[in-house]
Amino acid sequence: MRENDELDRLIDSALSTYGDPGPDSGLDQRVLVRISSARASTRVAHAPRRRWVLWAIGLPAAACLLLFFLAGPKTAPPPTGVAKGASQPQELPTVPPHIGALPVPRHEPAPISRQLPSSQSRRSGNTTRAVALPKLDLFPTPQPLTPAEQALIDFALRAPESERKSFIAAQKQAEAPLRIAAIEIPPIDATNKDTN
Amino acid sequence: MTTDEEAEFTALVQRQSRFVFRVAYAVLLNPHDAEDVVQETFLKLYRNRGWQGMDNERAFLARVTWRIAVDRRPRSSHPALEDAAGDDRPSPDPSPEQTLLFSNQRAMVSSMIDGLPEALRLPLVLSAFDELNSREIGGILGIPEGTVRTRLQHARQLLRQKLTNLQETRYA
Repeated sequence: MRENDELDRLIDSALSTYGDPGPDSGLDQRVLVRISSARASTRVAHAPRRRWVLWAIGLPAAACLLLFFLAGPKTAPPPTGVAKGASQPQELPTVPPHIGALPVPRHEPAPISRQLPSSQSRRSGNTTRAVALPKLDLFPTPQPLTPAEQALIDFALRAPESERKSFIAAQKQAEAPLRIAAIEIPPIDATNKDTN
Repeated sequence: MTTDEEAEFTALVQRQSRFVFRVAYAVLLNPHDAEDVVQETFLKLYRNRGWQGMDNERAFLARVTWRIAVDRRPRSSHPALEDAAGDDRPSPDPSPEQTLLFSNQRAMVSSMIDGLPEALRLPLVLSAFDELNSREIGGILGIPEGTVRTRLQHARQLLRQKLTNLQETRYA
């Protein structure tokens, strides 16, 4: 009986260290190094796969969006981007007879507001039609007088009648078409050619 | 995996790698193959995050390790567990020359454990680890608890018999 106890003690002692690599074997460090290297290689290997997944999701989504815009309603919404003042007819600037005493009114062009299309028109895909420019009654749009034009008006109002007429005559003469006499080129004599 | 989880997993490896090695060695009886199994076991746990929901850490690790080691074991050289369950053939006793080489009695007993049939060796080795009772060993090996106890008694009886024979040969 005592011999059996001794044998059991020996067996337990052997079992306690059976297959034990020991605390200083560095096994855990080797395992961790292996896992970190496997993790790094997994990241590299998964990168193209993730890109493929991105394409697999992105392409159908883009196709759906394209179909949605192509199959959507194509009727143009009423123009909403036109300002109120722009649709009204604009008058030309006129010069009253006593304009020399009064300052010449400067006509400012009506502002053209490019209002962004509403969300509804944006969904329908007609974004370019919503911002169409207003149709004016007068074309081109009247512009304010330039300094040269202003000086000409002042001259016409202040200069005497004779000077104005002479100025108009000179202007007409300058604007008259030029007349150039027909050019006549005499034929070259063959005998002269031989001598030369 | 977050930094905390990484630290937790590193602690698990540092805490249990030797235990996993011993389980793998009990199946394969080869330190190089056992280390491969250890690395494969932890790599598998890391990838599928199976280590996060362990109730009994050692029982879980032993089960995973045992399955991986059995898959790696060459079928021709080591019979399957069920086939070897009734194998009572004692392993060849160490020769007198080997006995001389084994000056350390503990190493000699370890060699005898290596020579046990696998069906007896695995329960015996697993029973030596703390926190693993007969029910858990049965769960790991897929055998009833009563069978585990029977095999443990049988394994110890075989080892006692071998040691007695060796002593008788020595002092004869």
